[in-house]
Amino acid sequence: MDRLTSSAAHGRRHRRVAGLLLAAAVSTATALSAAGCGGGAGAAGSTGGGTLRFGDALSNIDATNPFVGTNVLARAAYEQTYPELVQYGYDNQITGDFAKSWTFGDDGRTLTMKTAADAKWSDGRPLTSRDAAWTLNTAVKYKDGPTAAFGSGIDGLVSAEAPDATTLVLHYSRAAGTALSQLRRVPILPQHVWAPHVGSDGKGLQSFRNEAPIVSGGPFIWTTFKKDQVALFKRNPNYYGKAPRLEGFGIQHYSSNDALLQSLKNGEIDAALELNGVEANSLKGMQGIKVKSGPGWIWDALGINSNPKRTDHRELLDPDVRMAFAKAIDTKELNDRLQLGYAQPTATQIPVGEFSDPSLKPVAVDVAGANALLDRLGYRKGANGIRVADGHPMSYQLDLSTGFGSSERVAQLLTASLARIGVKVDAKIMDGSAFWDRVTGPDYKYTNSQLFVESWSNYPDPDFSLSLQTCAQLGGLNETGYCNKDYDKLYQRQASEIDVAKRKPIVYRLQQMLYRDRPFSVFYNEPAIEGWRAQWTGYGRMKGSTFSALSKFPLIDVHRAS
Amino acid sequence: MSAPAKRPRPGSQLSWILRDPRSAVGAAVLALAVAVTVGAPLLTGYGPFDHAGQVFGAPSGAHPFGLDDLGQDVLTQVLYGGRISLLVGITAALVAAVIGGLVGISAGYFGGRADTVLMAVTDYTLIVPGIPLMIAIAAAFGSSLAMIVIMIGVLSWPQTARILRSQVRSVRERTYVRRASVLGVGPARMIRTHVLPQVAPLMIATTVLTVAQAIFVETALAFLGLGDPGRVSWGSMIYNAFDRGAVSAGAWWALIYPGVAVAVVVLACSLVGQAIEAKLNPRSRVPYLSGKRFTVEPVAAEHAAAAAAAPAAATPPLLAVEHLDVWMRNAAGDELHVVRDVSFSLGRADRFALVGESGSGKTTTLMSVLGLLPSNARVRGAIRYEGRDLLAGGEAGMRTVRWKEIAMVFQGSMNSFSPVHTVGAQIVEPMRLHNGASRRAARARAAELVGMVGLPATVLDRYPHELSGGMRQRAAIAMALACDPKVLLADEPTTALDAMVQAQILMLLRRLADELDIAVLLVTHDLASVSLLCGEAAVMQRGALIEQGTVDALYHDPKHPYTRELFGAALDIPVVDAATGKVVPA
Amino acid sequence: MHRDRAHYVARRTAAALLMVVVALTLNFVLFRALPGDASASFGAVPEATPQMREQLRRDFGLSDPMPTQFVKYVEQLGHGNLGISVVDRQPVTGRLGDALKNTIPLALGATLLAIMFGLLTGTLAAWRQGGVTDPGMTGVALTLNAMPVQWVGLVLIVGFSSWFASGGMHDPFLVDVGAWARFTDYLRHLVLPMTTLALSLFGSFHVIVRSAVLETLGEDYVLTARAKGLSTARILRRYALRNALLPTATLIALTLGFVVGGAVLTETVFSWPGVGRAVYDAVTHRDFPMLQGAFLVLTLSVVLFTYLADLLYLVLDPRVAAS
Repeated sequence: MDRLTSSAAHGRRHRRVAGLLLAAAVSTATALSAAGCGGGAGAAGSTGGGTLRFGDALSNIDATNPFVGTNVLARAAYEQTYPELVQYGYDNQITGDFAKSWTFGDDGRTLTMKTAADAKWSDGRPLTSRDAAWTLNTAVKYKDGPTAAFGSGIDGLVSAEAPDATTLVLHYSRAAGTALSQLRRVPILPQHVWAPHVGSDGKGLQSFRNEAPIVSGGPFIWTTFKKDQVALFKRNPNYYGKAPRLEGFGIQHYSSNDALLQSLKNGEIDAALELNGVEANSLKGMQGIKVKSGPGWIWDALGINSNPKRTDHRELLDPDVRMAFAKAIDTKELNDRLQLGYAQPTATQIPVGEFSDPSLKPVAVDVAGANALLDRLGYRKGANGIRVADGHPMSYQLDLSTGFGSSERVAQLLTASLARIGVKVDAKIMDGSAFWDRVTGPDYKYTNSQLFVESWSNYPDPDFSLSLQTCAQLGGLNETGYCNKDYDKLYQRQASEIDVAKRKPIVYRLQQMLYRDRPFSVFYNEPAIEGWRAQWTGYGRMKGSTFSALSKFPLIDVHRAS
Repeated sequence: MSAPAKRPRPGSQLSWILRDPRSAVGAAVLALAVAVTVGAPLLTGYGPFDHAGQVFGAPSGAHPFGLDDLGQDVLTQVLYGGRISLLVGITAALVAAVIGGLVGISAGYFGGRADTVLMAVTDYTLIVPGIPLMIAIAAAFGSSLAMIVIMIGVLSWPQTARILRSQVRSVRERTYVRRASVLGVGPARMIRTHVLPQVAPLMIATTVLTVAQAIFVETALAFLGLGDPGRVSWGSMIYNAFDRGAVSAGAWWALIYPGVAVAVVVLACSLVGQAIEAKLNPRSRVPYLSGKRFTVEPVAAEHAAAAAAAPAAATPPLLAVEHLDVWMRNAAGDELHVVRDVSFSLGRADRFALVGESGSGKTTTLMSVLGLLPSNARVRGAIRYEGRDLLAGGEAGMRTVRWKEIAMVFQGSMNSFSPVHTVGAQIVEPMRLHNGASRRAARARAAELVGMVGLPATVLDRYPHELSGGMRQRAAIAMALACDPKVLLADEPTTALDAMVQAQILMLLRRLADELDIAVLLVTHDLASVSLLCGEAAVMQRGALIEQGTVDALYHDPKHPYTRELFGAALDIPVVDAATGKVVPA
Repeated sequence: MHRDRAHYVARRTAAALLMVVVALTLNFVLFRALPGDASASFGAVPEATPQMREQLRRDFGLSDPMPTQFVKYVEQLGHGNLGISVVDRQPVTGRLGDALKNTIPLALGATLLAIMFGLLTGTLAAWRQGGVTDPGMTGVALTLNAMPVQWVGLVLIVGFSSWFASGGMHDPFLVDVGAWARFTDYLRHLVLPMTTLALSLFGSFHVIVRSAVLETLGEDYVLTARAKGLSTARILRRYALRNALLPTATLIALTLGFVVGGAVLTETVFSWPGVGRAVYDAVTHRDFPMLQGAFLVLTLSVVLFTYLADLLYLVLDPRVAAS
């Protein structure tokens, strides 16, 4: 888009926004109790992009600081407000974002990228490859501390340099086969805003509040953030890419699914995020509401602590015991009862597609077989029906996080499933950070936890999901304490393999190792279900969520039908 | 109210509780709730966690309450969930009862420093925010059932303690208790044999109410996700309906039935608690103001005919009571004939007394004149003021004569004055309302009136509790004169006053009646006041007027044996001259 | 008379101050002196700058013995410093202040509604005792009282959310609009939670008022008032209710004191960002400085309203000072 016209149009667009909202406000004021009359700018029939109002009852953006926020919604917010070098397209293939083109050199150890020219941050300052270089170098420098959150995006990166304003050269320690899918996860930060906070040890990067309105480079500017309540974004006129048709969007947090769906029905919001199967069915009956359901980018699993050095309950490390657990759990029943059948069965943490091993099938429920496995191991049932292994009862604590959604029901179903094979489970639900401390603790020693329930994002590129089980991620994102040198070696090999044909078999082998060792026993891929009001076009084109953490395209294209 | 000398039997009090329809229904519902939840396996073929059908299936023959978000039978969940909710409720209430009982009884019985310390602890526990603290503890230490029960119990005992303490304090003052303690019975035995049986009903009442409260708290904790995840309770059912979008899915049954279950049980507890509380605080007095008016019947046919036949009097008497009958319906539903065919009349400036023992119906007769009878009364006859029948005029008719024409002074022991308004405000009130007097004029008149009764004008700004009994009665007389009435009704105006003051009041009344030309209708059992104040009297016995005549005649020449007995029994009570303080010779 | 009143006020003030001291101590002990996460995290705000940590250590004497810590705690309280929230590294006072600003209209409005209706129905039920009005009204009151407040809220959302908002305190997408539009939007969001809370409070008010008025209707001054020819309405209003206000006022004060914290369920159902909700969020995020601050506010509000009730009693009942 022509720079001159967009900045000249800046003033005009603002007035139109105010006018629309004022008109909507007047209609709200005069029709205080009009049924179905949505407040805000959702008035039907007006021209222009409009403001898209999202509601979410499950997740909550935790921070505006990308070094701090880990929540899935937060990551999507960063995607929309910060430039990234590359992004995913509708076909789930890597395509350019801030970087327009790139080449590998030096046997894959160098990645040279050309970035957008004459780009600006929302405050008018120049957005150049120097910002990218600064961000990446800072991330590398403190990756064991304050910038650990970026760690999975810069694996193997040694340094970055910007010989000129539109060129970025990245140097890796080994062939960077997965560099692109990794770089996709790194938001480029404005150096002029963040550099003053580095200090001597980088700790300031995490404590910097990054108050809204933040200096943004993506298609939207993050203008308002009230934690646990609302986040508001408006179109960034300085965006280097295709301008979004939306004038802005916002996300409101709801404490209950019913309130969320009622709001959608009443037109108080335009779209609902992170819905489950039950809600999908509820929405299907509603007038003027569209629903899209399909496989999503999240897998749910039973996590089993895999710390080889653990001293108690060592039977948990036995793959046969893990297989017995897997056989006792009826994933189809879980799918039917929790997700009303909308979830996608899968055996692996890798999304069903190019890299998922087709020979691996989900473990079929087989209670008799599970019991037989445990009988063969000599773990007899005691008087109370609980098996005894190595002198102590097979009685475990199952940890769940409140952020998981329906955690009470999941706990109930898993407890019942494992009870069928003589394993007693005591479920405890706790908040996200307590959960993380418990599962990895104490202090990342991985000795406290036994069983837990977890869900992780999986991306089109399997690298991220595979990295979760590496020894390198112990103390980082490795949750189970699994550490296997052979696995790590294979992981590094696939990470440096640029040729996809050669990479696939390695990825298959890694999946087979995970299937056998089972640090996570996967239930299914959660469905991605969205609901939106019918007057919005272009919605629901992206696998996963339209408010995407993977791509800027969905929100650029969504607009109100005139 | 005097303290009973004998120790009431506790068992009798408890059985009464079952006879009150409210508590009977409440107790029955509670018993039923416990029965169905305990007997759940007999009532439903499903287990609470069985996959019984389709998620959010609608109510049907097989599933009368429908299915929930996991396809579990809601009726089964309500029954099994009730076990947890009721268990938590009852056990927590018992914990609260034990702690509260120990603290409250000890504080009330021992008093002194123990009381101060225990009450301080109670008060400080009360200021701790209950639900937030329970949330914090549940989140910190996990939420097992035992934890929840203890938490609720530990935070609920202060209310019980306070209530029991007041009860024990009043029990301690009773005669038989004091007697026993004087005899040297030790505190433990005293409490066990005397105090406990008396406070038992109250303890039951507060425990029952704590059950309701505890069930609420359990529901609240489960709703906030802090319940025991392994068990189903009514609270967890509401939570899951909330969390899993039952309503938006159209499955209202997943939300409504557990809520109704809680409401039913809590309501039952409230009913029982209310009934016990009503029994313990019986309102010994009938309300003086009620929505329903007493029934009025016209004069009996035979008397009406006679009256019509008789020649009309030249001027009707100022106040004439004609063939008045009053019946009162008691709590058991029986009608008591309280006033039987009473007739008498007063002329201008007459002073007439109705004399008799208590229960003779004289007060009721007096009350009838101004229509001040309670709603359970039935009246027949006529009360004519200046010829007009007041009873036939209805409440509106009565209001035209009240205070303006006929005013009243009540017993000296009564609170004729509202404690929260000044004496002056209450004297001024009828002047401004009935006569339309301005504030200044009314106040001036009020000052004049209190002066007439021998009180300083400063009394107008005082509150009733600041006046002595005698001063209050004088003020009541001043108030009665506020609208210049022609008739003054006086119901035992000197009862409960000192002998000296009694005489003064009577002299005052006599002087005022003389000066202001007011007719006085006095009701009394005190014959001395009769002779001092009145010229004529009527003797009433068991509702009937048995003899009427001048006071002199009644004293010296009684016709009826009862009159003879009554007047004869009166010793020559010396009458004291208010001015000189000397005995007036008979 | 004036001396009695002064004495009374002095006594009550002393008692209230003592309560405040106890509340502060309780609060301190509960969250600092007890072992575990709570005490440790007061200074250990994650991702806090070194300066911030140093400031906390100095202000609250975190390395000093307990008694000194208590003194410093009270000192900081005087400056309005309640520590730093673990969750967003902002001063607790600010966030609590916002939460309080949000809860007060809700709590106050609901209590007033409940009182108004309770006074009305309670008086009517007492006056018309023995007929059908009393059991009818009291039955309704008891039934409302018996329903869990979160359940009532959910039912109201189901029934009325198409007219009023189903959650939150305002429409966050309403920007660049005038004060009137913002105000009406706020009212739209306030109606359902306030009604829910009022419905849950109404029952006890009705019962207390009815009981108190029944008592007064049996008092002699009511008979006198009737004899004075006053209208029923005037007697009910000026004599019965006015005297029945004494126990009612105590209940009102206590309710106000507790409703601020007790509104947590209503605030959760309606996503209302008030103090109750802040407590719940603080607990789930183990934000102990915030939790301690919130507890203090709640405890002090109970003490404050109890104190105000005592003073109100002085105005309502002239006999109190003399006793």
